[in-house]
Amino acid sequence: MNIRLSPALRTLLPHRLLALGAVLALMLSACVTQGHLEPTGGTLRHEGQAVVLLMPPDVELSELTVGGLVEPNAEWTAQGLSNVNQALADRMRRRKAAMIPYDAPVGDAGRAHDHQQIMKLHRAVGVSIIQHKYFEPLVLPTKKDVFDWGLGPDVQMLREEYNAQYALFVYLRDSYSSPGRVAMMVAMTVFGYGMPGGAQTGFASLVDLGSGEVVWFNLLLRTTGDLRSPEPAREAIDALLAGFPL
Amino acid sequence: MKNIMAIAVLATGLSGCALPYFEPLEPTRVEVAGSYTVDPQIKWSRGKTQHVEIWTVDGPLLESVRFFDARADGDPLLVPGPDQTLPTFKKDMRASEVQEFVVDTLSASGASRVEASNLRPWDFGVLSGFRFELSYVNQDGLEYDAFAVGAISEEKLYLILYAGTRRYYYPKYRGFAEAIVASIQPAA
Repeated sequence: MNIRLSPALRTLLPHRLLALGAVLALMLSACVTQGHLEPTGGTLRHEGQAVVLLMPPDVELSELTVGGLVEPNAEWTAQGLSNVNQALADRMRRRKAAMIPYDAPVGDAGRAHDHQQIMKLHRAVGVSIIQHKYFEPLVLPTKKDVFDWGLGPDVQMLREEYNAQYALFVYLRDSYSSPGRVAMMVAMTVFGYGMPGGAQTGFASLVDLGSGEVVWFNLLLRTTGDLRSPEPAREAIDALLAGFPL
Repeated sequence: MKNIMAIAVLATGLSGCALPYFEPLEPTRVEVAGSYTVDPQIKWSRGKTQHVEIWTVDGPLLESVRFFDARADGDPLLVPGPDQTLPTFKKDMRASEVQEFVVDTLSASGASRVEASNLRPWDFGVLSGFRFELSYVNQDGLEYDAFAVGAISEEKLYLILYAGTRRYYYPKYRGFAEAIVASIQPAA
């Protein structure tokens, strides 16, 4: 059994620990810019209803141990992935874009490899955007006043294979304190120390499959949420896609 | 998955603020590694970590030119992490052994499927040096291409490495990187 801080437990905790989330948020807000990013002037170019290819969401749920190790949990991850897929489908039904799910190539190792490399490149681009655009001490002078990251022309293969104009990439990580860590967190407050619990982090990108440009990007970074349950997962997707242009 | 761990670093906010930052670099000739000058060609973001100067436009995870400080006998190319052992430079290394030294350093730093090819003589400014091409994948399985140019002078190794993701970023700046290493001149 693994738990986030329940409301009942919160009532038992000293104010120092109660304030941990707020302190962490303040620490982050001192360094991290919030809000979604898109190229100046916008670059959405399509006629009629946009068709968006939903790339396989990259989701992993983990347990945060007493020692601070993040241990992936396969059962939670499967549940979280299912909830995220359902939340994305529900969300897109309410939007003006047509969403088609990615279907991995079968029997074509070369294409499958190319697709995998595009997804890995997206991960590297997403991490770079977060490091060098959101996180103020690491902002690159070459990116200070522009937002022009991309995945390059290779993404055109996805446009041709799926007849889509855009691709939506979603990356989510969620961690939950083990009972032992919660006990340690409580004990540490007695000695006047705060100890971080689980966190929900992730990012989403909308990529133009013609130009390869990242035309919209958002970061999710918080100490609340739970992808293991459908309703909180839906709320997490709504937060991640806040300001989504389609 | 070291790059993905960056997300965790951001999430905790524990160490990110202490990381080195980047300064703007204009496209005018500049001294690097305390030893020689190059023409940057374009604007870069310039950062310095221990023993290595890094130039990037989109981020070091995507592409970078790395100028290593002159390495003397017994020096590793990079500063080893805790519990990490890195190969060391030997002053009497031949070019093929330097290539092996770079390959072993990349492998020990977490890269896999590291392959070097096309080792050949190359003029490192006024020094007679060498050049070779590299390919590898990072810990997330993302494919990279790279090239290295270097020379040994007065028992010290001078090395420049340009690396980027095979898809998009390596070819995007390769022409500029080629022009940079072709512009090496001794520092005044």
